[in-house]
Amino acid sequence: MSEFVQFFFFLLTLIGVGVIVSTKNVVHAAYALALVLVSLAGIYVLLNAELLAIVQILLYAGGVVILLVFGVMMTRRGSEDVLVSESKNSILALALSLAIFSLLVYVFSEATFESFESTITSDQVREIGVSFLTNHIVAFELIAFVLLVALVGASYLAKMSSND
Amino acid sequence: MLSLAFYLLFLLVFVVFAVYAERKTAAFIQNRLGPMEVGPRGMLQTVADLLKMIQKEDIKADAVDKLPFLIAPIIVFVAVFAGFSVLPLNAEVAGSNVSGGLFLMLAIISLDVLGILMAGWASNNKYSLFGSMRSVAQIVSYEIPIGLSVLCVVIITGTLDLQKTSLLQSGRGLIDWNIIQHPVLIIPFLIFFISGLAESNRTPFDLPESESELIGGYHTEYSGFRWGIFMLSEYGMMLLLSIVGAILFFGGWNSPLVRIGSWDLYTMTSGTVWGTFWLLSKALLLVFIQMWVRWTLPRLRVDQLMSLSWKYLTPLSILMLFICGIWKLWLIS
Amino acid sequence: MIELDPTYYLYLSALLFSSGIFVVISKRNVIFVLIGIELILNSANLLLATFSRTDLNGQIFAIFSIVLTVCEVAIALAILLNVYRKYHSSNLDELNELSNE
Repeated sequence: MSEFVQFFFFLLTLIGVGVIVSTKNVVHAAYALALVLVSLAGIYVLLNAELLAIVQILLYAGGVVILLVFGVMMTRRGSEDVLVSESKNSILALALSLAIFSLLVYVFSEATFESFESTITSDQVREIGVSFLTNHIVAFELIAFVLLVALVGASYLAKMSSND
Repeated sequence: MLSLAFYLLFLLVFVVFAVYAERKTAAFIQNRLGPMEVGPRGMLQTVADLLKMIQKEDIKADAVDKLPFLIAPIIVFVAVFAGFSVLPLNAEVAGSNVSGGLFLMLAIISLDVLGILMAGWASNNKYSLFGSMRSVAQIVSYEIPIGLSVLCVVIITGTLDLQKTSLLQSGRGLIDWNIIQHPVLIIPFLIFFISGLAESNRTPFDLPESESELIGGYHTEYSGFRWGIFMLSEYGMMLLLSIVGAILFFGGWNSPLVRIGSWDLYTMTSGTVWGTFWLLSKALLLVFIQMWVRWTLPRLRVDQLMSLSWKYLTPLSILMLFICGIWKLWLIS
Repeated sequence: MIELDPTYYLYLSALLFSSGIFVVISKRNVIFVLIGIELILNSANLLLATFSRTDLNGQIFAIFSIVLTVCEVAIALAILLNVYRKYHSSNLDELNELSNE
């Protein structure tokens, strides 16, 4: 049963990646990205990383994909189809990505796992919260600051100036 | 698993009665009678409407984007319905055993925005696109006050699990409810209620689907059963947020009756069936208040809507977060 | 709870990474390139989550990575909106001048 669930989420991820790589329509690629992100959240649950799965759905699938689709809707000329032209580089890009893929697969195939059991059993949300405020407090405060700067910067950059 | 199956059946039965209740409520508020012809005092009106809707022709325009157009209502319904999986039913039947139950529900609910975007864009139609962009902006903006007001309750109860929140409110009936034990939670409840109205696209926030201005908003091009799925998810979201509000603020499945002297009314009205009854009646009372608000208040303009969220509700909920933190520290000391 | 060979998660991460690189190099639309960058970042997050078995530090690092990605996408889209207002195009081939004169 657990293998069937793993196989299902892997298949969904592969379908999503296949659509992103092969489509010419940017909006379809954004929808396929949402599929990839949600199925990755399912894989994180299988890897016993609960809070990461929830944050992935909340921020990635519920935030980044919407931002991207809004970006597509606001940057198109008239009513033409949202095409991309990939005639120049696609063979070179394919060769390069295949080379990187084979290098990574070769390195990963040498990996041996002695024991892959998960020894985390407790309330993960509580432990991560405590760890944010004790072990990783500097990173936590810096991330909050970066978020504030990004929020102010993005809203300033994107506002319409008065003589446009 | 058992609670999810129960909630699926309950949702389907609830929608049938909720549409009838909405029309009767609208009628009584507007000083008329409502549906009276079909069945005794109009009770079979929704059944007749469902039969009509199921046999309507499924119109698919030529210029729509086929696959996203067909999938969009399903995504909206699945996102709303998957949020029901973390809700408990009574003291024995709990929801799904995730450590961050409430957080998971808020995350999954935010996925219905994808379905609305797909519906608006794939319809290839100005009005659908305007409606869906307004709806997405509205839902995303009101997710912040909802999350912060729920966080106020989580600070005070100390747990994200909805079953534990209900267990912490049991024992003595009405005086153990969160909103009475911690009166600082009254304003977060109001913020939660208002943002819940906006999350389910109900009046006074239903500009995205206002019939008088945008024809139908993002569901203009949908007819027959697909439109029915959109309406089903709107009522589903109303019910979900009402049940969550009942669990967080009003005691969940606990009985409201108190012990008077040696007459133990509280234990007399507790149990498996009693628990489910109390939870669902509190949720249905909140649904009735949502319907009442719909036919009383006029619709907000889109800039009033956005300024309400960003300029009033978000700062107020941040302030209430601070006050609830102080209350919790005062309680501990 | 895992019966699958854990190296399959690593292979999936490698696949995501190389598809991300393919999309970044060969597509010309700016949003497409951002989608490719998302795929690359997700492959790194998957690797972090796979190796976080005995303690929670991998998960915490992945959460920080997700938050930084969200900031980066927001600012990238704000810049794209500004560029689009000046050049009226979101095709990388046509954005090849430093000023609009």
